Amino acid sequence: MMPIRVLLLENSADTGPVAGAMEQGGIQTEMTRVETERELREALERGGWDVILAGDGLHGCSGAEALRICRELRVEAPVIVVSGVCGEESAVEMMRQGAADYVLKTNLVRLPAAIFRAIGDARARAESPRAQGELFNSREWLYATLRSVGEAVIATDAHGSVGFMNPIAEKLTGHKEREAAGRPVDFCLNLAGREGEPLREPPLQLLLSRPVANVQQEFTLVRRTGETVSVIGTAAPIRNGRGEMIGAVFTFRDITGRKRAEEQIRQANQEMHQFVRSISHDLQEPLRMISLYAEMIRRKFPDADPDTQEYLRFVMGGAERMSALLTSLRAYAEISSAAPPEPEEADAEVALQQVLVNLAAIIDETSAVIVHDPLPRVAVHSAHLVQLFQNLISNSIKYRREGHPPTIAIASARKGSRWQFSFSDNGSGVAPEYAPRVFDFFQRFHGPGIPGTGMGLAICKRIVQRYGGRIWLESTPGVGSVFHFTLPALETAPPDPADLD
Amino acid sequence: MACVVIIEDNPGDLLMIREAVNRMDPPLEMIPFEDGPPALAALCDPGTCIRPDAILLDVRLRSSDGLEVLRKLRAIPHLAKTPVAILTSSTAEADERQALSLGARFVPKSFRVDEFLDSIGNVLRQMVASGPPTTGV
Repeated sequence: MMPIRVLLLENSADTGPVAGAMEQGGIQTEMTRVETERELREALERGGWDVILAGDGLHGCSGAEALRICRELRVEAPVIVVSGVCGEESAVEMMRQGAADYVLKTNLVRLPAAIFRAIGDARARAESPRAQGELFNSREWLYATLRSVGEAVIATDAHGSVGFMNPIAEKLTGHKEREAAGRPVDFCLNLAGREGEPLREPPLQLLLSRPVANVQQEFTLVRRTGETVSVIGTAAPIRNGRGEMIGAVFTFRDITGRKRAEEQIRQANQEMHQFVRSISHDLQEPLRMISLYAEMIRRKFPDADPDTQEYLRFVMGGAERMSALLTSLRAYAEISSAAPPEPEEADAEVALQQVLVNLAAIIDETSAVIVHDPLPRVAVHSAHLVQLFQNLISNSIKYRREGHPPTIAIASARKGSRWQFSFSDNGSGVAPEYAPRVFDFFQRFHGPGIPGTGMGLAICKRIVQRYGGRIWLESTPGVGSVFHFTLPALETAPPDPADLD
Repeated sequence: MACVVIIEDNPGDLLMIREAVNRMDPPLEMIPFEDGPPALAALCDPGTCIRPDAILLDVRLRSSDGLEVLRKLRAIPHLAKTPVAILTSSTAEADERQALSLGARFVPKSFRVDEFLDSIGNVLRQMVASGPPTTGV
């Protein structure tokens, strides 16, 4: 073994303790001592040093100054500070200046190991200084990134042993990286199914055993304490440059709060719907009594004076209007409630025919004419489609122009995944500034003579929006209105009966 | 004289029903109850000898659900086939389907006097005409 060439910076001639420590560590050294800055510079220029030991200082030159000189001359040999001063601050300072290590004179037994390691590190750096530096940098960069991401990350090697956990993973699982490192991943990652049911194979183990698509999934995470949290996570393979799986990573996040909030919203919606249902029903009963008995009073006094008769008509009219409002309110609430049992599929043609039957009396009475193109099938509940068409048609009839029998033309056009319908009428029309407001609650743009609850178009908007569509109005006062709206198309045409065998 | 049992807790509705019954020709005897339990007790008691030709039953009673009362009526052997009409203000299809599945008619209570009287009169006539429950073969 070649002796290690040591340059010792020491103003004291007593090199005994250092040399003794080397000897004890079994290191053969070739030691050269310098005392002054000039000697130091000359020695460094000559080169050929394996390690530089900086003692307490040279004459007129501190240890820090000596380190600066080494840097200045781009010395590749590592510098180890050997100091009699036991001060953490000076040690830190020396390391910052580029020292490879810091050994106390009172603990020289550590010196041989420090020298070996410093030389080893320096050789490794020298072999490929750039690659080493980049590797170091990218590793640090990756670790810092993984530690600071908002998701929990646990990575394993190809055998499923834990290699890394970030702080969020530690917090969520309740396990520490230093305890989990090297252990099978199920030590720190205890997953059950979404509803807490046992998993046949946990995601990471599954991934490591055979190729599977990495799909985001909901799980129940059992923490170290036994508590459970809902998480959503993805397992993904880690591959080397040759495409071989060298590990796997599971990233996940806590969705307990989100799930709780969703459940609360769902319950609140359900309660609200139930509430609207029952008030709209319960309020009908007393109204019916008001209506019936106001009429009974009127019948009882057929010769009542005109004022009394008018008052009774107001009572009955009010009750009737309120009843219609309650019915509309209930219809409005039910649009967004639990889906009706029928499938979301209806023929607009059939829905329109149903509406023409429902509105036969008013159509007849007003001599309304309704013309239409062939209408498509759409992915909408038929009850909703009927209600939508009926509200639009009765709206157009209601707002007809004096002396013009209402004419309504219905057309449809395919627009991507949707059908755009248009209902054009020759009615009184709406001034542009009011057009967006016609879909609001309780908006009525007519006198008390025209019946209505002011909810018909609000219900239309609600229905269209329930299916992700849009409804809007183009209108010219005194000419007419066109209501446009979009509804989802059925993706595939129903099979031709001739094709079914 | 044919006889109808009315189970209705709303005095306003009961008065209208009485009016409808009074208009019946041929006349009809009316036995009113204000709630399900007393009606069921009376109908079960052999001592009372109430054998109605028809029953009018409000869907929502003070202490009981009309459909529940209907189910109990159906369980009484001599009432299993008696015509029953459920009076309701609700337009809930679920209620309607349930009533139909228990072999009952479904009569909505109207907001209009004539409509109310006519619908009650019609259903009473239909039920009485369908005859007393046939006993034996």
